[in-house]
Amino acid sequence: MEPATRLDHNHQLSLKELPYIVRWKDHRCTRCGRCTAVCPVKAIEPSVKVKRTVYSEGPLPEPQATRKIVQVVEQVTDIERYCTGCGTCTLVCPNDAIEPEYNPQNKFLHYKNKGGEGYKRGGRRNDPSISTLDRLKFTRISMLTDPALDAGRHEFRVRTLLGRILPADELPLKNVNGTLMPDDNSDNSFRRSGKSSRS
Amino acid sequence: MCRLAAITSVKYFSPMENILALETMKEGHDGSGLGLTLKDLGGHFEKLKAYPILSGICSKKGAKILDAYMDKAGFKLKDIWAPRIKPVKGILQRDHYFARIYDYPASYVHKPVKEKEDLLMNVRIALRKIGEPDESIFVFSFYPDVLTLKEVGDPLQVGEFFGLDSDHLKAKVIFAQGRQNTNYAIYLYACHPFFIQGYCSMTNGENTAFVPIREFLMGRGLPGYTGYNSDSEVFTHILHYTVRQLGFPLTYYKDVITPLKETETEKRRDSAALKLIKQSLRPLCIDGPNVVIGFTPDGSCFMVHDAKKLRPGVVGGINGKYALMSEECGLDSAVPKRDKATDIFPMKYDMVIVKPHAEEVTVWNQLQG
Repeated sequence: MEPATRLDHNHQLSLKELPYIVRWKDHRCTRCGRCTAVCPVKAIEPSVKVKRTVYSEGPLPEPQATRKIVQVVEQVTDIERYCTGCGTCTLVCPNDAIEPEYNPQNKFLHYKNKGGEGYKRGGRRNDPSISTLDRLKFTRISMLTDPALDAGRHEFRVRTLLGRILPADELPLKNVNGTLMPDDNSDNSFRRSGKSSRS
Repeated sequence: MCRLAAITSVKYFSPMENILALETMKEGHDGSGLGLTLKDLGGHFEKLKAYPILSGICSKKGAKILDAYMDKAGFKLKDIWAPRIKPVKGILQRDHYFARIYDYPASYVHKPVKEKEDLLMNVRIALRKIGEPDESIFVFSFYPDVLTLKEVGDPLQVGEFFGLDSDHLKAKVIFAQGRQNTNYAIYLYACHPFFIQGYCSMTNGENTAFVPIREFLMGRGLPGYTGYNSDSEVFTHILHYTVRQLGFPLTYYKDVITPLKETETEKRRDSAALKLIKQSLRPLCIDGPNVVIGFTPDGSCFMVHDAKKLRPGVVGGINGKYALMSEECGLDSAVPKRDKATDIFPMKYDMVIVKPHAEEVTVWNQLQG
């Protein structure tokens, strides 16, 4: 089955929806074809049309319609071939017959970005890699089977202690019958260093 | 989960006792390996107590490298003991399992014990480094009167494989671990018990604080603090660092790995010292459910728990023979004739210490000091 969007023809654009409208002056154009040849996005192309004109001659209005075959330079309404306003056509035109004009009322992105995602909080739409949740790895069985044990696993460790921390092998301790006691005679003893700083 | 079976006795006994105890606790291990550490050896080794024993495994190629290295280092080979291997289905036999008894190099004979110990450790590390890339040499311990055997397989089968049921290999302190492989691939160097310079420990548990502890230990500048194929190896090294390097009494091991909160130290006479130790050795705090069983060079054995106390452990026995086990059924197998009412199930703050020659068992409480 075809998706419903394919059946919907409302996506077809008119010139007013495009960001630039190419202004082409019929009376100045010599149909040299340089502009259509050079357009980098193929936004303009030569085409042959039947033009119907109604005119009246004589003292009383007697309108008559005539059909005429004309050669024109026409902007296409294909959404993929929109004019980007580069002005290359103007540059190559020998008669100033063509130029793109910015269309300030355009809502082109509304059509162009159809199906795109809206902005969400905290997300990065332009990051093509897999999401952080998908990158989580379980390196230990207990992370799955024993989540209670995991409570302490991810806590932040405070590794910086404030104040004076001595390396373990320089601690001012002495062994008194199997119990460690502060050693006042040690070079690192806090009391000793306290006294010397006072004097 | 692993299962631990440690027995200490005043008389020599066979490691099969440990293995049979492990067999009763079979639900707790998956038969992925057996590690045995024997201390205070009898039988063949009784007259060779002064000489260091290098125990390990090597290939034919490794044997040549090992001989050349030991010769160059000045060690004189005194004796060789090897287990009588009985091929068992399911156990891949390696070329040589050995316990080689060496005499110190002439220049070291009269040196102090500490220097000898450092030499032995450095040789062991050097051999390990040589043999590790191609697995041609595994060395588990190099120390007087200590023998280590390790192999992958079901403990009972490994015991049979090493011929321990018929051999006269005996010792007074034997540690055995039945391994349950959980986090890492099966690898011999990841197999408990771990040994360094007379200090040995084995663990049932998992150590979440492994990385900071390893970093701290490796920063001590001691070449022996290496390996770490298992996160439990750090327990042995913390024990070695606390007792040997810092000279703290054994009970402070408990205070280093699971320090008290400041509000809990009021009853301790040494609260001032505890505060300093906690600050300086904070990276050595362990985290996770663990029960550690270990011995020190004097022959004391101990059992200690992490604060979470989520792994089983029990100590019991009679005067002259005590067992430190993971489970009660293992205790029943090792020392059946005992008063079960006196079995000790150490709690969060307890450290059970069995004195050398299984003389006496004491429970040291961390809150009381």
